[in-house]
Amino acid sequence: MQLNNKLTMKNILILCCLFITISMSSQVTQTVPLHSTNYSNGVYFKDLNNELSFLVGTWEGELNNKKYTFEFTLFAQVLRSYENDMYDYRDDLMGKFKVVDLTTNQVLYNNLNSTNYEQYKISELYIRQQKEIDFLFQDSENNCLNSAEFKLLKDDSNPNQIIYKDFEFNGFGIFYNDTYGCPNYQNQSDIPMFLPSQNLILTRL
Amino acid sequence: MKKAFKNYLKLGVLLFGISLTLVNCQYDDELDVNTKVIVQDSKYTIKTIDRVEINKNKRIVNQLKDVGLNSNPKQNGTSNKVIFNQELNIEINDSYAEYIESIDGEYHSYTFSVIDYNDPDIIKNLVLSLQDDGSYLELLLRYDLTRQELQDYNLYGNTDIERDVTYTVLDKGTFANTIFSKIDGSTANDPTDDCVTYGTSGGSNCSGGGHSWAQRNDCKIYLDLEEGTDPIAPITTVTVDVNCGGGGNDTSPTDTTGDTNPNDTGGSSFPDNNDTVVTKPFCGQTCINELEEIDDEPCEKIKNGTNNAIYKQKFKDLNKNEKFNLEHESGFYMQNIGGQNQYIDGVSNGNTELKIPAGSLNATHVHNNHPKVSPDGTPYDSAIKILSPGDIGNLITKIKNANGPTPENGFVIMISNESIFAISLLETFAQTAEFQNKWRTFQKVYKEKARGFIEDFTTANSRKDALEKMFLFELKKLGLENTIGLFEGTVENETDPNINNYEINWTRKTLKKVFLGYTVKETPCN
Repeated sequence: MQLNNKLTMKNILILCCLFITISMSSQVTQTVPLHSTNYSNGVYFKDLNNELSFLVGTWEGELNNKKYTFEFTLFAQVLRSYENDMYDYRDDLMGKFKVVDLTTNQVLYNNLNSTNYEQYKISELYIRQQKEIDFLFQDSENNCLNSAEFKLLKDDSNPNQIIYKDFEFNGFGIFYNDTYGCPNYQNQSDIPMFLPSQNLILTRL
Repeated sequence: MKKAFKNYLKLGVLLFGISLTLVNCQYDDELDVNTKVIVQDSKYTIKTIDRVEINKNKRIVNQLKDVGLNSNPKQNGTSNKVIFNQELNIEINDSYAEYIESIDGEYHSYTFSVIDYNDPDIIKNLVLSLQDDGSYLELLLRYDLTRQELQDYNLYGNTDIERDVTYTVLDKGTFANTIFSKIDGSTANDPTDDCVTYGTSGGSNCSGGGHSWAQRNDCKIYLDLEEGTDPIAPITTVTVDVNCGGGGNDTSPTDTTGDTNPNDTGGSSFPDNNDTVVTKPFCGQTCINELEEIDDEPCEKIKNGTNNAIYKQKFKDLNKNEKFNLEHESGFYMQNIGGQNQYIDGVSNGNTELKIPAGSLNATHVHNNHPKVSPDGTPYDSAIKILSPGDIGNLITKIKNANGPTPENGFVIMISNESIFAISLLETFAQTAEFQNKWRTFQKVYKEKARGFIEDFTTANSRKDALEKMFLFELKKLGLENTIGLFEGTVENETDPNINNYEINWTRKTLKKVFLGYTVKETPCN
């Protein structure tokens, strides 16, 4: 009995030490609003004004005979580690989407089954005047890290509606055999892109 | 048993409490420098000590406090990390000091680095030197030497730098009150007076002589050292005779011993405390880091690559509003075709970006304006007017490869209506397997930051400053801070019809760790 108790105590002590070690290794040193200019190591860019949560959920819209379904998830306090022992935390609003051809009912693109943070390809970049959110789309290595940006604009008159707008291609290219480019595609416009390139209205499901 | 459990719990809570205390200090940049260098010769022990060590000497702490409290009512923060005089724009870094102590323990001095933000290239030190009565003489030293020369002295003991050291003796405890008149050296010594002595001893030499410390890797056998062992740096000291040449304010008029040279083997082994100050040029950890980063060669490469008439004409043709207002990027790149370098106008990559093909030795392009309207109807320009992640990607792959054995010759230049920037390779770059993942995060974080800056900063200059700092900081996070150099360009004689008079001047930009974060240091490429 006494031996068991001793072991339990030992375990508690080990757990305490483990907790202390973990808490020391990647500590939040400062909490600041999401889009602050701050170069401190360990800073936490937090959605203090709760600007991101209104987008969380599923949104749907139709354009050119295609149905677009977007799902946004808020990942709180995501740790991002860099070189030189640098790191920060951020509340990241991440998105995934699905495209269905309404004529054939064929699924053209779908990454709604993504669950891990790393699998989401859409991420929030910037909130403008608490109304308009810039997003970055980063494709996989197979598609040469093709990237694009778009905006979602709140509709003040209808909280269950948002406007998808200003789609633009961004940079592309991957590091491949010491080259920066795209081994599979000559031009960025050749890489399959399933995000809508025109504005559309999305409705909350 | 219950008691034992309680004890363990108490111990756990105690350890947790201690851990929290430690965590609070963990990212205090100034506290992570421990006593790190200890050298010793027959006369002195020299070591770099941190604030914990400095704080053990209460008299020193109080003397430093006087400087801070009297001179700056708005002293930054509460931790007294840096003694900052806002009006003079100088900082005395009390985070660490060079501590010199005589072997007999009778004498010691503390040397602190001073940054004069009005003249950041000048090395200044505050020396607190022990007097016979236990007080400290305050001496402000100004070394009219480059940081490189000082480093050469500290590392190699080069004594050909013995020139232009001025010092000012300050009234004890009145540093703050008198600094206005004394900081400019108006009461300083005449540098031609023989009041300052440089001393070098110890260190290792290569056999056969003629080898410098910098050449240590070429030297196979070292005197007094086992083969294969790196030579050690010599011990370097600077001794100031404060009663010599009429310099400064003599704080010890009764003293007449006049033993000034610590290396003097005659008479007393050690200098007279009241007359003599023994110190060592100290520019602090920041300075040392900075020295490692600054190199003139990248400047030369950029200058050479952009100063021929053909290049300048093509650059000039791009540096125009009509190019900035296009809906896509425009630019050119240089390739070697048939043994001759030629500039070739670029085309779009299928969207708005300029395509830089493989084989390009360098590239110059415009980041065009990108007019947008915010939700409240305010127009803004969403273009990021500094080099993009894609530009960095091109530099460290295609352009690096095209330049073969001299990757440092490659550069990418961006021209916009608000700024001109260039990047070049400072060293060769080899990819690692994890680089792609890092790159993805880099792209995202870069855009997060830049997107905010281009709208939050309302003037072109403030935007430019914020973007270049962000750029350098993100490079550091990517681990490329020593691989890629950033330069800002300005144009002289822009409207001169003679292209030979059209000058593109470059300034190297580097990230400098200061006491409360980072700042961008500018080094003109003269």
